[in-house]
Amino acid sequence: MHYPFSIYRLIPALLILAMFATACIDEVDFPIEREDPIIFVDGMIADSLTTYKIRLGYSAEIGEGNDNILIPIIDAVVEVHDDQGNVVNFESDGTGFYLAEMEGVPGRSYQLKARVSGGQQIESEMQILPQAIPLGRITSEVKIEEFLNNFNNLSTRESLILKVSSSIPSGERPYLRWRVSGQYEFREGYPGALNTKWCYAPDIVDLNQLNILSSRLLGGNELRDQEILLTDYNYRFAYMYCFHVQQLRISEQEFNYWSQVDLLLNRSGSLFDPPPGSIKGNMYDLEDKNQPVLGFFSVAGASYKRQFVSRDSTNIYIDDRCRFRFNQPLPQPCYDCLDLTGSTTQRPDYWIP
Amino acid sequence: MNLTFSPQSIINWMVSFWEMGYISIMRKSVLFASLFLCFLLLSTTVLGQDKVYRIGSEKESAGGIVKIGGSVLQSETEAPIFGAEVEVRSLKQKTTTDSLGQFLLALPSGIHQVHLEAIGFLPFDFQVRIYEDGNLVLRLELEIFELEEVVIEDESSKDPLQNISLGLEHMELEKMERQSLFMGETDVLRSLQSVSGVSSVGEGASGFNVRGGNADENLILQDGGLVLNPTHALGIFSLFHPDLLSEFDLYKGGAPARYGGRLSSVLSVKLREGNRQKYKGKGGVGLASSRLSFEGPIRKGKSSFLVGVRASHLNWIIHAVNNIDLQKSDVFFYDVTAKIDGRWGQNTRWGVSFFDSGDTFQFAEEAKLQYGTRSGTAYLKHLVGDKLSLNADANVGRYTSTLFDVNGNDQSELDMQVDYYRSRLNALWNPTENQKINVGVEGNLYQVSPGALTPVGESILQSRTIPKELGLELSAYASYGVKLWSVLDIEVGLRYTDYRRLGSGETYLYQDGEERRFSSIIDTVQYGQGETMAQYDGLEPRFSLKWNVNERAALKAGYQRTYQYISQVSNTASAAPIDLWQLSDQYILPQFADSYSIGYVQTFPGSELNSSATVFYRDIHRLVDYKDFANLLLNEHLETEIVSGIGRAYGLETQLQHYGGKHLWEVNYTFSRSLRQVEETEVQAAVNGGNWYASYYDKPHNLNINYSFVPSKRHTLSFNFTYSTGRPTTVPISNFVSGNLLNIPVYSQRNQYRIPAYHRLDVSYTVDLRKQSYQKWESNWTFSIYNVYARKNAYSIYFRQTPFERVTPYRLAVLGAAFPSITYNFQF
Repeated sequence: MHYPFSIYRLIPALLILAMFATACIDEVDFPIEREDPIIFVDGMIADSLTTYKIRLGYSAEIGEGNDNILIPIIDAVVEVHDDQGNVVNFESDGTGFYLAEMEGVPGRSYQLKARVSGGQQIESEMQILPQAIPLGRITSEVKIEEFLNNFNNLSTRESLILKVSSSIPSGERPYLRWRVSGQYEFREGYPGALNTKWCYAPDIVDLNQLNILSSRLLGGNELRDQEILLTDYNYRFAYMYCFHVQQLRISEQEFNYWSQVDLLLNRSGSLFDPPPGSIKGNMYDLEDKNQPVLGFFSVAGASYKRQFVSRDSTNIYIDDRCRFRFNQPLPQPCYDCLDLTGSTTQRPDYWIP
Repeated sequence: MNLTFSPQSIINWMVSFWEMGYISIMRKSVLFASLFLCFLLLSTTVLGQDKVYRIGSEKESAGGIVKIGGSVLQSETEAPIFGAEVEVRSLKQKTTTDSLGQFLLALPSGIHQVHLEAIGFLPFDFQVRIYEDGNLVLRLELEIFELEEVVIEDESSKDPLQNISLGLEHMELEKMERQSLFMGETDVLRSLQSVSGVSSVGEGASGFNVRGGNADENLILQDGGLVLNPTHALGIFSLFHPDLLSEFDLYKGGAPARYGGRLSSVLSVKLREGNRQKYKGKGGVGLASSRLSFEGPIRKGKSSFLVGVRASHLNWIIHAVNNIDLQKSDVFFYDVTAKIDGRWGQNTRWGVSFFDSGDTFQFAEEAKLQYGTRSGTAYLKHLVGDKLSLNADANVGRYTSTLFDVNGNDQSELDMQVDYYRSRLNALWNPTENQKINVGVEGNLYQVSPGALTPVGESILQSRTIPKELGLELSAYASYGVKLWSVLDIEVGLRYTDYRRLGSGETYLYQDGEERRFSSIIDTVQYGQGETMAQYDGLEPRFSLKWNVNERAALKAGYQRTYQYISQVSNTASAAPIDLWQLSDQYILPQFADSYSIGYVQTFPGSELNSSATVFYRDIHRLVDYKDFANLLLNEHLETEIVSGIGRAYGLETQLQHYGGKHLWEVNYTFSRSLRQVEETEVQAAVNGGNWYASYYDKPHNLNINYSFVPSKRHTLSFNFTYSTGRPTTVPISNFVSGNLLNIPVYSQRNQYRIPAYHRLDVSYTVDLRKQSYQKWESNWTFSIYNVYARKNAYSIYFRQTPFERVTPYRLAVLGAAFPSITYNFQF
């Protein structure tokens, strides 16, 4: 939330409404000239001891067949320097990611430096690692929406909304970003099954979602019920689901960067859309500052919490994915839950009964 | 004073008409031929007047020269008739009435035959026996008998050979009604877009663009009252009540010195006057809205009222759509327009008009938007002697908009408001028949409330108010027009404006040599109430020339400089109702433009055909544009989001029109460009590397073809075809990924691409229902189809990307289907 409210997203909806729903949206061919790929950086460090990943590559062309084909940079020298003269080397994993274990210190400044094999050197501006804001209460609620199905009958669909409440230290007006990942319990089940397994599967739950907030707009020091995630309420919540919520305190510069990204991601095509533009991150080419470098090297103060949710806690029943339905084959994970990507039968030690 | 119209009177009229002389007949033939046909075909009962007037006594006459003055009024409404010709043929003396319908002739004492005529009225011959100075009140009867194949139009203002102003477009309600209608609604703004040099960014865009100018660069006046947002329903309908209008004038260039304050154009919409003799009503029921108006005398023959209301009833359509969100939504708009006018004595006229409009949108349970205009205008016109006319008018208005966020933990209201006070004194002096001098003063006071955020319920937001802004614009102007050698018309004018941004308020000071950012603010200067925070002035020369090369052709040229001290702050392709208005201040300098135009007008003998071609060029200085991702809402230091540059617009406008007979058609083609340049300076970054780039409304090719077939008085079939180049747009050219598969697009430079071309065909058919002579109720049905061949014109092209899928271009077609409608119109 960077505007007082998402004003530019509301106007298009009103416009469509004004056009009495005669508006139609369809896919079209729109030729785009081929552009040279641009180097990009994506990475973050924070004040917790863990393994951080920094990604380097070249942007993908747009056009059928070319999208999302990023060209990884696998042989760069990637280092994070701090203002005390310490250097952390990030090692390439051969896929464009560079990894290192480190722990940032609040108040210190950090800078990313990378040297690409062609000789190009890119750097970030110095970024101060801010003091984290403790993550307060996390709540969830299921939202039930009505819609007309294909048979023109009124039907409902459920979504789960995750909300956070935090106290903002007096006199401070931090910029916040939330990242959420998930993990859910999955129980095998098929007719005649005897020893069914329980699996624990990771879930990229905030796929393509961006949640930011400027507390400068807040009245008082309490952030209440800030929505940070919207996800389908489905079989994943039949047993136990664990949300891993990370609250990142970011710089104003980074907040502005993500605000601009947010605007680009939420375009509706209306004449009232704010125009798109070139996003400038905090990376630049050492030799030629006019040479574009995409992406942002984030230095954040992080706080973390887990939140467990299940159909028992929401009091809204949801079917097990493996419940037998006549004439409907069961999905493969119902026979072997390890078929779920990244799943394990090892119950995490923090899991609750 | 009723007179039965007889064949003899027709013959008399024909003779007198012929006696006017060949040249005069040629110039007026377009109108009078059709009028004459009506007389022949439809002889009927009309009102007449006494034929002999006596002023003074012959016995007491001192002889010599006496003065006869008077007023020429519409017999039904008592409205003055402007431009009526009063002629004493035996003496070859002639004069025309002024805007108050008044005239003065100096005649030898004695008996004279006087001929009176005005376009659209029955001519009137009478005898005057005058022996001393005196006044007459003469009434002309409007042509109200049933017309066959005749369209009465105000040729004097439409005739391009007579207008000195290059770029003046005049349109009457009748022509607007003939054009194909969207949802059966006669609409000023849609009619405007058929005019060469006028375009819009797209369907549903607020306002219109003239010769490459922004929508906020048009001065829009309704009966002299300022209108800041001329649209309903986010730009789909205009807010001018069609049944109350008489005509509109659009100055695309060559605006007289009495108009100022906007760079591009002046749109003056005129309300008609109420009927001074009878009570009458008019209305219509359509799919989108219905309207009703009522008029009549307050004091019979002296004063009248006119009031009209219009309200939408779109909800039944919206709620019928198979969409839950739409079924929970509401759309409503209304407007109320009223006018009272009258006269004091022979030489003074007064009037008061009032306008109130409102729009409400509620989208599901998410958002609500309200906006509206309230405006009142009063005017006084007084004639001093026979050569000097004084006008005074005053206007008070308010435009408000409120956006409600009704969901989540940030529920709030965002209010914006502009109050404006406008007054003008104008004197028009005609020292001789061939000269006119116009002088006047004008004052505009603006009070802008740029934004007040109020949290609602359990909102986490804090309330916030951006301080009000006050601006005073004082202008004085003078113009002189002269006709030389019967073929050359020249008008020169000068307008001077002093503008002050007034306190209270504060101005931020920025670090020298640094780009203006919030972080580069080094100090704040406070100003007290009424203190001048910034002051600008500007001289605006105006020049128009018309040379009648021969009786059928004229060469015209014009130049004007215009300043603008208040602008709508909008970085979107089309301004939204919630976009705020910004007064010029220490950092946002007033924009000004120099416009040049030259054109050639040709009419063709023996036909009702005329053509014109105009070349124009405009230089725009201190043009306002915006940084990428400018944050314009609730921003106290807007100068950090704005960049200043220059602009230029140029083009060729061509027009071919045929009016009269059963076939009326018009072809307008415009080639134009509208470009901008924002270079890097100490305080701002460049846009597109400092290179020229297209504005949002740069649409080089525009073609409009209107055709109406009027086989009889009851039936009108109209077609409208329009084509334009697609507007510029900015598109993603590559992308990269961040974190949780967030696909971040990388966009091209601003406006480097274009959406596909726009074209569509509309058709409408109007049938008048037969009525008996004793019936007061008249009605007609209008059937229309908008976008007959259901072209899915791209309103915009935008791109979506979901994880693991390619970036996909989508076309949003707002009216992407054939849109039929039916309207029932009536009057009683």
